[in-house]
Amino acid sequence: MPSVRTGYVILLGSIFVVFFVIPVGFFLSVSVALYLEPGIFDDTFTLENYARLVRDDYALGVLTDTLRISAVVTILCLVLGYPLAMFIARETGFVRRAVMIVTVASLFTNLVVRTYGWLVFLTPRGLFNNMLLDSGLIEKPLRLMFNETGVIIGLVQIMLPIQIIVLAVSLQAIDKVLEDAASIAGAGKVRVFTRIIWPLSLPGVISGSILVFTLSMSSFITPEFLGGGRVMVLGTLIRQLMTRSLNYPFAAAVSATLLLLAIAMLVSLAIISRRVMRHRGA
Amino acid sequence: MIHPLTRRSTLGALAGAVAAPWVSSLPARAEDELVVGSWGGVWDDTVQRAVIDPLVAETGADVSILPGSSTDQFAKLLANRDAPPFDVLYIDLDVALPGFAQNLFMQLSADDIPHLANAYGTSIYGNGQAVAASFGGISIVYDSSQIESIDSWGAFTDPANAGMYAVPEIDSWALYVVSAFAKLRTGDENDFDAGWAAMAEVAPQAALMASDYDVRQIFERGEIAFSPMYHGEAYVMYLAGQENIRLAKPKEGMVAVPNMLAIPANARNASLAQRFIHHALAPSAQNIFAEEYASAPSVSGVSLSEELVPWMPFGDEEMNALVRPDWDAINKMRDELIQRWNQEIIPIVGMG
Repeated sequence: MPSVRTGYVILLGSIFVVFFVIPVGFFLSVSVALYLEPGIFDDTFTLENYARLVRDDYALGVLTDTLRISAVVTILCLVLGYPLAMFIARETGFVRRAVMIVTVASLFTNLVVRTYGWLVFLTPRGLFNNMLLDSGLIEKPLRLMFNETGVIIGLVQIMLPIQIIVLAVSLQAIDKVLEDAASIAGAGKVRVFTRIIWPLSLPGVISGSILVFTLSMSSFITPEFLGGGRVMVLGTLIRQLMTRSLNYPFAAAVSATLLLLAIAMLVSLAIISRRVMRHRGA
Repeated sequence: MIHPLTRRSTLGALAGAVAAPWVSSLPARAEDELVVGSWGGVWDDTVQRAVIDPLVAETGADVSILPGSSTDQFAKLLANRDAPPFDVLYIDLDVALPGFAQNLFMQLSADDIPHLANAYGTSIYGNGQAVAASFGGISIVYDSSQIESIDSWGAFTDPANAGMYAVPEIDSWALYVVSAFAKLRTGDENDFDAGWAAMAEVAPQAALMASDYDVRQIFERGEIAFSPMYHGEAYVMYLAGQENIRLAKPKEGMVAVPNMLAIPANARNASLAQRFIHHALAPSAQNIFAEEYASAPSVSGVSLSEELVPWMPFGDEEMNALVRPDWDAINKMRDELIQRWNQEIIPIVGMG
């Protein structure tokens, strides 16, 4: 009679196979199928779909645009998130709790709703442009929508809470005694930050940044809505290949590439984290 | 030639083996249950009243609608060709063509669908794999408070109209409009190079690029005077209170859009699906679609109110003038055209 443990392993294994191995295996198999015409492909093995991603200037451009936008979002989230994370880590009492709740609460708001909020806010006749026009700061509306600027603004707002939470946890773990000791020894605030706080918060910086970069890279809803068809990233390209071009093999190859990039980022996170921890241990 | 999908078959078999213990315990779909793949929105409301209500009254069937775009539904069908998630579906012609090529749909017959005998010859597609439940068209919708009238696709190339119109997204009707521009320029809707050149001239003078859904809101805000649009949407806007909205009937013709119905080859409930199509082709259903969505009938023997004439392609002259793109030819270039649209047209929209 099989033990409870065996049953448990079979159950978990089945779940893993059904929800992960088969779907990924299916789209990987489509990614090496031969595209014939829209909606039609056959099982002849080919790497042509991957070769196109490298050879085709347009597809390669979308890939590099995706990486560039993700990098900009990651840097902005770090620059904007670090001070707020520091505040959350150092403050106590009601103010800290209030800031934390507001930060986390935005994560529980539906992504589409948040994105539509930006559509209303940033449109040429929206609240933001009207405020600037009324105050006399600008004479004609700024173009903040349906371009890369709009996509970056939307992504930063969506990713910022994630960066803040990861950073705050990391900053909270730094022993305040170290900073006090440095100050007593004559170090100024800048020196305390550059020599104590920043190096010790690096695991959080790296984890948060890789998380934000990976999520930005695979984002779809925000570029789709705020890009207005003018900003193509890997997510929107996959959607277009699936729903307009009906080129399923190439869509699957782009998806597989995105998956590989995400895995590469997570592996590098693990390697860098291990090295940082080893360095700190030493 | 399409070979058997061995790798995917293997994965499918593996999935089946793993999922079998759970699947076998699920309740089987009832004999009288019908799932209709449809397009969502007002269209589904009309399907409910015109087709589903009479079908349920006749058979007592349990009918549900699975909404989605034609391309979404086609992808679902392709991934589940042995067990389609719907028994009958509405589908656009350009998307249905690869389905016809792969025999994904059943042959329709007047023996099983009596009202099919009344369908016009031009209503049958894919050698009998689909029938147009009604006809629509892509035309020019305009705000009569901003522009008096429009009678040609040339309104887009008229420099006096710069900045007054929207151009469609590639996800909506862009390829249809390129065909209309081709006919405007050369008289041949399939002279795609001429149509593309016209679009490249028109795009910089456009106020913006938008889908039908966006265009409705943009008209409400009074930001444009005219736009290409599905004709039925214009009628729905008018009925909803946008009283200045009008449908142009360009002399080069609207672009034909057959609203097709097809039954997947392995539909679980093919007999109910055939009954659904029978009801969809009934004169009463054709009238409801005309009155609520301005859809032109696809069967003979339907009499319509004269008030509907301005809102649909109507009569021999207008029906003969319809732009009928060669979707087989376009589909062969589809991947390339969409990429060209992204690279050549999108960057110049509104830049004139």
